[in-house]
Amino acid sequence: MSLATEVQVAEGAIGPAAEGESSALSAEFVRLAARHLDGAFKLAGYLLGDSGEAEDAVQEALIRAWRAWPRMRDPDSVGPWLDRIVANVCKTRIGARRRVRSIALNDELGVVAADPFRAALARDAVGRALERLSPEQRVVVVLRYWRDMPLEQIATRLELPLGTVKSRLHYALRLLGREIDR
Amino acid sequence: MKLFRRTARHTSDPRLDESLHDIFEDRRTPGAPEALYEFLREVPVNSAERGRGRFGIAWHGLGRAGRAASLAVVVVLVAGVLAVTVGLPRTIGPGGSATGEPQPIPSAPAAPAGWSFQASFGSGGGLWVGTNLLPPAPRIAIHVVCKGPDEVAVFVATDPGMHLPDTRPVQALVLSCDPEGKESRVEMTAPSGAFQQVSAVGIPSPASLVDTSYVVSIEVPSVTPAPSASS
Repeated sequence: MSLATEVQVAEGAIGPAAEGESSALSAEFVRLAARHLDGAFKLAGYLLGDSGEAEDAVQEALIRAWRAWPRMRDPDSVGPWLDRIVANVCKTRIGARRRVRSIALNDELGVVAADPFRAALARDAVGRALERLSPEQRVVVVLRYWRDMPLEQIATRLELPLGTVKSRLHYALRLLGREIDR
Repeated sequence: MKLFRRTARHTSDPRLDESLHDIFEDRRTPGAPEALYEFLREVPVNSAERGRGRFGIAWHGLGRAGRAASLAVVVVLVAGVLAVTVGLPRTIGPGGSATGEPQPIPSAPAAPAGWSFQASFGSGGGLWVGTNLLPPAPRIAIHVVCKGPDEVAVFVATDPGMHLPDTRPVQALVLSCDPEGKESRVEMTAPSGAFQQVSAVGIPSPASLVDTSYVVSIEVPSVTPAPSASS
C-alpha cells in the first residue's frame, strides 16, 4: 500500500468534519486528544528526530483528526487512531525530507544539538542508523521498542497485514544489527 | 508506558535489544509542549487552522524560545534544500551564467541620509554567512540587495556567534529576490541590549536552476555631532 493510500485510509474511514460543530463535540475532541498528546508528540519526535518538526507534525495531525472527528464512533480507539495519523504525517515528512536532504549543516553549526529527540537517536551507531531506515520500517521499530507493542498490535494500529509488519521489522533489525557488528 | 521494557527481548541479539531500548528511553525525552496543548484547544475554534508556517511569515517574534527553536528548524530545512540545489548544474535559466561560474555578489547599497554603513557580507551561492557587529548596536537597518530567483533569510541576534541555541533571542527576515537585483531595507530596534550578530542564507527552491547572490549591508544611525560648547 502506498503512503498516500495509507493516509487516505486512515482518514477516510472517519470522514471529513462538517461545519458548525457543537461545543460538546469540541470539548470531547480536546479532552480525548489531550489525553494522547504526549504520546503523539513523542511518537513524532522519535520518528522525525526533532522536537520542532515533531510539534509541527502533531499540529498537522490534530487538524486532520479534528476534520475527521464527527464520524469518530469509538472513544477508546482515539489513541491508536491519532497515532496512525501522526505516523502517516511523519512518513510524508520523512519522505519529503529525503528528497532534498543529504548534508547536515545543522551538525556543523551545532544548531539543534540540544534537541532531546536528536540526542536520543544520536546515542550510538544503532540510533544513527535509524535514519537510514525507510519511514515505514522506522514506524514499526519505534512502536516495537518505544511502546513495546506486540507485532499484532502494531499491525492493527497501522492497519497493515501482520506479515508486512514482520517483514519490515525483520529488515530493519537486520540493518541495525549490522551496525552492532561493525 | 514501558512497564516491562527491560525484560522484553525482541531480537536474538541482546546488544541490539539493549541499544534500542536505551535509545527509546522515555525519561530522556519531553512530553508535548504547552504550545501544543494550546494549539489543540484552538483547533475546534478555527478548523481552518493549518499549523505554523515555516516560511510563510516574513517576521518571527523576538525573544521567544519557541521561535528560536523554530528558526533552528528553518536552518535544518534550508540545509536540506541546499544539499540538492547546490549540487545541481546551474548553467541554465534566467540570470544563470553560461559558464557555470558563481554569480557575482552585488555591491553594498548606499546608506540613506541619517544612517552610516557599518558592515556587509554576501554570498553568491548557498553558504550561510554572517558577521558580528562591532560595536553592538541597539538600532540597526538591514539593507539587502539580492539577485536571483530565490529567497534570502536574514537572522539578527542580540548575542554573538552563529550558534542558535533554543533560548537565543533572534529575529528572522525572509526576502524575495528578483533577477534584476531587488533592494530591501528594514530598520530594527533591539527590545533589550543590542544587536550583536547578523547572518544570512539563501533559500533556493528545489526547481531553481541558478544561484541567488546577495549582499547584506548593516547600517547604524549616524552619530549626531554634539553641540559645540564654545559657540
